[in-house]
Amino acid sequence: MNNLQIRIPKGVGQRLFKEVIRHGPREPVVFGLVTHASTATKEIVLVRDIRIPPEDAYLPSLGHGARWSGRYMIDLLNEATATRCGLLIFHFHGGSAVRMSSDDSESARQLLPKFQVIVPNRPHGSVVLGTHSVAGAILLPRTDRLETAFSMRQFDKRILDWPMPIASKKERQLFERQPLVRGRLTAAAISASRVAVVGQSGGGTHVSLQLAQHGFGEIWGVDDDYVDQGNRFSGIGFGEKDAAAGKRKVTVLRRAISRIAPRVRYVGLKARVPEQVAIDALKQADVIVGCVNNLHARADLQEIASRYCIPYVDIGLILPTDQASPEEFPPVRAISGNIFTYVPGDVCMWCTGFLSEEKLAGETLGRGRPYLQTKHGADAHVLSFNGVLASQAVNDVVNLVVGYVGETGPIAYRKYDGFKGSLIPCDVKRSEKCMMCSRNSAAGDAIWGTRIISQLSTVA
Amino acid sequence: MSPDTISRFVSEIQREHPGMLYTEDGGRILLKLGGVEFPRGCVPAVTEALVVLDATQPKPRLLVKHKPKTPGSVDPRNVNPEAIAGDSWFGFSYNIAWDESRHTARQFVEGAMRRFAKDE
Ligand SMILES: [Zn+2]
Repeated sequence: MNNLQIRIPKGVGQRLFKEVIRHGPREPVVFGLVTHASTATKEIVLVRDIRIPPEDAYLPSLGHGARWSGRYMIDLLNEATATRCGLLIFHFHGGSAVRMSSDDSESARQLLPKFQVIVPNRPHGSVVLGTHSVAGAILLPRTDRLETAFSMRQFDKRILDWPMPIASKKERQLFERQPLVRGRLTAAAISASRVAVVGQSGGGTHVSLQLAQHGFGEIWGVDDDYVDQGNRFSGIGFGEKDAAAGKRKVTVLRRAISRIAPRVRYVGLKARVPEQVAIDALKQADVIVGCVNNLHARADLQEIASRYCIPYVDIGLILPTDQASPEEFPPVRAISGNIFTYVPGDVCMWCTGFLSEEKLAGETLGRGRPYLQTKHGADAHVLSFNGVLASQAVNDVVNLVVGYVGETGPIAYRKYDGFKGSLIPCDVKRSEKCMMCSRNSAAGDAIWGTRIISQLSTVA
Repeated sequence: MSPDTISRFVSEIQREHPGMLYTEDGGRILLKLGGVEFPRGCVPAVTEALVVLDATQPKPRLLVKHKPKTPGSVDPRNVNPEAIAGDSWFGFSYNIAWDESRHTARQFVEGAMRRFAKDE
């Protein structure tokens, strides 16, 4: 696996593929407006949106490739400049081992440096798509070298990676029809995945241990807390001696996982979201699972997931009591939980109102983020309730990686009723008016510069 | 904040901090400033700082890269990390009677940083 990857959110990818495979008088092209992000292990090119040239933008062409008008190109470059995006040119050849034609390579060599002059701080590229393969050339910012080794990740009913591993027809059929059977492709997809689990307490311990038992290649546990006599009943695997010794939660989990799955790499991060060390780690994950106890941390995780196109599975459990009751121990009204599974480009927690500015303000009594207090829940026997949510969260992670759900695709939002023991799917849809989706989806890293570009147009 | 105030603010900050870095993210203007001084006696003495200018908010915000110890070696209260444009900064509360028609960017930055002079 190389360390340069193109990521295409759900919806954007579907429109792109529909257009590039369209039969017409010429080979259709699609332009991607892209941002990018740098992590310790990967350069990521993020497709924020696409532009489909209208018929009258095309010029007659002698070769097999498409040509388009200068006017269309100028409009597109103006949009790229205004939105601080690079340009990727996509077209489709088909086949399982696609390659750039000599025309494609020559046109990339000519066009991409010109794009770079106009938008120097973002990547530009030319990408040819096959059935399960991808090829092309990408020019990263501040370089003059065309990168030809890269992969592509599209978010659809599951995470689709190109190129697909080389496999026999039988292996491919087994993976497509019975992905939970531990065939070579299933095992490869799971062992190649790095999952970050934020919060290593009630839900997070279940999640990390189950992921390890499944054989996920890397698990990055994020938690800065210690095991003590009060919280040891909430996390599976926390022992009496761990509490007596005051061991860190991530230390206990690393030990447990090294025993049950020695080939799984568990990295314990003694940090809290959104500390820098946590953000830097999360940007490198293939999937994030959030087992946190406040909405501000959820908002941070949702933003990281949206910006860098990383699926995010969120779980939470509360035991609300009757606030109006004068009793010292008011009765528990419900055992309520949620599982929210965000697929990049699809419905987010802000779209549904699960997160809102009012709810965040409520969490700090309207005094703002500096006043957010670290919550420590009352010790309660909720380990097994968290286990229900965590198991479904792990199901969702497995589904994101191998896609066992099939045609209906994953469920974004489920409510849990601990009294009834039921998990109820809720019908939620992406809101076209969601400000957070439009701001953050595939936004990548910010571009910092000394030039002040367009402050008034943005503010007005 | 009005567009005029934001424009004035950016120009003033740039004059005060010639190495200022600028970006726009999610409809907000972000300014990164190096070498911003904490009040005398704080550790560390200087930090990187971030100014957030949002037309939908009544006043600018200042965040710092490092959480200092105050002059009396106290870990300051209500200073929490926030993720802004994919980076972590420490947000803190400060008491400035901000008047956008009157106050300068310099007064704003110095006024906000004075919060760390208090041992609380
Ligand atoms: Zn949304």
